[in-house]
Amino acid sequence: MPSVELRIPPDPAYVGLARLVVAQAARQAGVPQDRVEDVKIAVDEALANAVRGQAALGSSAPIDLAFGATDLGFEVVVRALEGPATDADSADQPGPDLLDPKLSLTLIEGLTDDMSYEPEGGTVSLRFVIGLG
Amino acid sequence: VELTLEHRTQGDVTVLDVGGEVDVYTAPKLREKLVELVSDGHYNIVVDMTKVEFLDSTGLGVLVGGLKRVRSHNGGLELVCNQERILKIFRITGLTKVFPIHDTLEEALS
Repeated sequence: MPSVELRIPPDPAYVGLARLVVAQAARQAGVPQDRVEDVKIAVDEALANAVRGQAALGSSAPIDLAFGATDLGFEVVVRALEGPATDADSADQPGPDLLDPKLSLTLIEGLTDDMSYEPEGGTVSLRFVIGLG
Repeated sequence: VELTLEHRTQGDVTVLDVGGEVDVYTAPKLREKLVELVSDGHYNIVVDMTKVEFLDSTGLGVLVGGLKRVRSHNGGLELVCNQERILKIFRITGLTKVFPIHDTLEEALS
């Protein structure tokens, strides 16, 4: 389990701050600079998805991140309430300017070395890993 | 880094210069700008993303929304982007097949 934890409100204004914090941690952990950019985008996508999901639920529950170097590489876990934006059943009904909600997951999957998405009892944990060095 | 948006007209094309970060926080401003341009009759738009430092799927969604709007007026929306880290996002999502993407503004306007 990653060693650093961060909790943010489900507010788009905090997404940029969180991705910068995680990117700096990735840099310090030895993730190559070009992959640090991948970490930034993957973290942003995971958080943006969580923020949208919780907004759709009308929830102000915080979003939890855990990140850091593990045996697998640089690992990030984002945990939030499971919102309708991440529900596969709603994927065919994007909003006026939103693509398929699965697009965030497609991006994370394309940018990271391993990704899992685990709903559990009303919350969802999105975990991904980027290799070190 | 905030989002910067400036537009100008060159012939019958409107160039929208976008700079900074386009994410879930700032993308609504880009959306408003594109809606405003189309409402004002700008149907041929080139979005110059040369100064964009960060782009996520929310920004992609706004660009697709802009494309749909101009196409409904028989217009077009093309992009200028030469940064590998941004182009990578378009490639992974398959949007390189949706948007004409140019290396330079001159190429987009030619």
